[in-house]
Amino acid sequence: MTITTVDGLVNALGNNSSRIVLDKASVANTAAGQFISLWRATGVPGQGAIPGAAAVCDHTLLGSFGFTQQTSPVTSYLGFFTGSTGIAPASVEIHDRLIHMGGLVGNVTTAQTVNVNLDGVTASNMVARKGDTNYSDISWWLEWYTDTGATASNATVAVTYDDGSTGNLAVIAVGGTVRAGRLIALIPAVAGRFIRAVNTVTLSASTGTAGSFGVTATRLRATLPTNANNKPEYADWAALGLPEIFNSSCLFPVVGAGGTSTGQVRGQGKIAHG
Amino acid sequence: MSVGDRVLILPPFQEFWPAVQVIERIEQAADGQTVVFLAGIEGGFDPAYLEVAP
Repeated sequence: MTITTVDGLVNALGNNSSRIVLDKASVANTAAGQFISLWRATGVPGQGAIPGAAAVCDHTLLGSFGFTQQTSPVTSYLGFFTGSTGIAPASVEIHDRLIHMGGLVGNVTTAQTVNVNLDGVTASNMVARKGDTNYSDISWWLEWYTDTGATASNATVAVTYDDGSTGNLAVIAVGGTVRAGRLIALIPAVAGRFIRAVNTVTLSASTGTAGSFGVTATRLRATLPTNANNKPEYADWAALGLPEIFNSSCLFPVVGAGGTSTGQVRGQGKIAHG
Repeated sequence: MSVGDRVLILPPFQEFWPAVQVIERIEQAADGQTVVFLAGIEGGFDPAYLEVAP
C-alpha cells in the first residue's frame, strides 16, 4: 500500500485520480434478492459483448470502467462512490470481472463445455486481481445473456476446487424462464473448498428455448446500499473499505435488485492513485 | 416410459437423487423435446437420464 495516510488519500483524490461514471438503463424482469449483471445493460460504461470461449477480462473491455493504469509502486484505490437505483432498497456493487465465457444454451441436455480455469493464469495482472491463492476471494456465477425457456430443468455444474479435487455443485433450478442479466451464484459443495475452475454445465432437461448464458468469475470490490428510489447514496473511502483497484481490473456494475426491475442505475466515483 | 413407472436417475444427476423415483407426468418443452417429471422433483429430465428401475 503506497497511500499510507489520510492526507495522502485526500491529495490523491484531488490531484491524481480517475473518475468513473455509471449511467445504465434499467434491466427488466428482475425480482428482489436477485443479483443482476449490468454488463449487457446499455449506457455508461457501454454495453459489453457476449463472450465466446473462455477469456480473461481487463480494463480495456467495452463494458468496464476504464481507469488510468499505474506504474509500481503507485497503487490505486476506490476512494469514494455515490450511486442510485430507480428501484430501491437495493444495492450497487462494483466487481472486477476476472474471466468469462458464453455460448451455453438452455435446450441441450448433454454436458456443455465451459473450461473456465483460473489456475496458473498470470495474464492481465491476474495474480494480484484474484486475491487469496486459495481462490476464496472469487465469486463464480452463471450469467444470463438472453432468456432461456420456461420448462423446469436442473443444472449441475462440474468444477475443480482449489486443491485439485473435482465434483458437481448442487443442482440449480434453471426453468421458469431465467431472464437476461441474471447472475446465479455457484456455491462450492464441499465445505472449506473454493472453486478454481468450472468445467462443464449439464441440464437435466431442455428448458424449451436456447437462450444464451455463460460462466463468469468476479471479485467484489465495493458495495453501496441504495435506500429509496432514485435517491443517491454516498460512501467514502472508509465506508467502502478502501478497496485496492489493481492494474488491468475489469470493473463493472452489478445490482442486488430490489424489485421487478433495477430501474435506472446512476453513480460516480473516483479511483485514487498514489 | 410412462406415467407411474419407477425409474432410476442416471449420472450426473444420480448423486442428487439416488433412490428410485416415480414418473408423475411427461411433457414436451417449447422446442418439442420430451421432458419427464418425477414425483417430488421440480425440474424435469431428458429420458436419456432415466432408466426403468429393475
